[in-house]
Amino acid sequence: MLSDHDDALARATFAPVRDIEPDENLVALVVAQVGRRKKASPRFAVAPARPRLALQALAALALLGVAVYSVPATRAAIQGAGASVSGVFSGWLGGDSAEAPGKPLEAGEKLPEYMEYLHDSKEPRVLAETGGYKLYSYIGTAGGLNFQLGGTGVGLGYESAAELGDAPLHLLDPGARRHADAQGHVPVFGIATRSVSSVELTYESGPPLRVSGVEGGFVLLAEPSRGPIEVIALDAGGKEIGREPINYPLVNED
Amino acid sequence: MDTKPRETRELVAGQVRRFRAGDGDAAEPLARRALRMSLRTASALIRGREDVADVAQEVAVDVLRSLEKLRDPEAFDAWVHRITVRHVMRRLKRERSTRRIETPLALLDEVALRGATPDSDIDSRLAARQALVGALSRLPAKQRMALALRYGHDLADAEIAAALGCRVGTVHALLSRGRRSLREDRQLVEVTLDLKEEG
Repeated sequence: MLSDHDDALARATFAPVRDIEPDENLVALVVAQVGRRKKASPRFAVAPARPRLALQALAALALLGVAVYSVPATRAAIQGAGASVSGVFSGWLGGDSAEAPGKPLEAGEKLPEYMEYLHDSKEPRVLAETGGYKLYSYIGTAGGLNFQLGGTGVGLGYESAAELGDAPLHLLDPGARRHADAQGHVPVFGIATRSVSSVELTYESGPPLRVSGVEGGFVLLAEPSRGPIEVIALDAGGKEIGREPINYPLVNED
Repeated sequence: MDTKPRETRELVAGQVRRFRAGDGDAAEPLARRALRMSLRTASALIRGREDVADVAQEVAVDVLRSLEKLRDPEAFDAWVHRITVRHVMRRLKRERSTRRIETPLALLDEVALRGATPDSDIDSRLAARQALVGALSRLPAKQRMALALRYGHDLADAEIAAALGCRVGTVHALLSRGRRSLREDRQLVEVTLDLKEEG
């Protein structure tokens, strides 16, 4: 049973912690980093209406601190390497079908039932498929860019390609445990520039998962138990050109 | 049990809604809140003030960039705690893999000395800080995390469980063992009693 003495001792132990305040420079740095990236504005979601916004790699560091903190450059500042992911879709959205990413539906291939209910499924494309999870993209009747994360019931809508950001890759959704396959793998959906030929999902423990043949999109089957950390984009030569951290399984674990 | 005043949650929820709607002015208070919370948690677990600030910055950026995923704007604090736990535990794992010795509360030098003018006051505060560092360093990371969330943020058991992603019963056990370890640390007991008498 908890004694008042034990509780008081623990409270006294942590008393200095409760006085800590962030330095103004640190606040300003975070605001600047966040403001550098445009926000997506999901317009709808099928089934569970949960709009999603992916994270992006962190930017360069500066001098900051609670008192005077000098932050080491431990995080990669890789943004901007290569073309932007928004550029992959801008030509297609602008009416140039030759610029369309992924591939069209195969002859006789039907859209999932939940997409057929959406009467604005214009020019649907398949950007990637892994383990039965398909990533679809299509242009809405109003001209917006849409994604369907096949097999999860989640949809995302963007008013313009520019909202996808200027990084070489963009995670659409880190998945949720309830979307796991029979082996417990959870799908992680993402899109990438044409310069990205493979992606690598790193874990807190064990080897990374590398998927080659990326052509505009990817679906990674993540193992939640190993603690997924981030997705790294690689060019044809195996050189890293971008990365994006994932919050899984912090988000939408239900 | 929700330990935050209703008006605070509503104020923060309003800032979250404004931020999502594109109001850039909402970013600063949310960033400040996320940084404050993550600094306080991280400082109890991570060695080196630079690393603490580093993690806090990562947390705050992640929080703001992922706000679209937060279904209940009033759950902002819980969101921050969960992301903080994730980042801190990851950093600790990296520290262990590089054989670095953890020295939590490194940034408390400044806090401990703030407002302490007489030499004896400074000495006692530094001694207290050393005792805290020693006591916390001997605790397993999860116990330290649970204690930091309870006594650094006044979170209820259910809120700590949500942040750690475990059962409430596990939180009870972590807190109980952590408090017992603190109680058995004689140096810590002495310095905290001294500080209480001074305070």
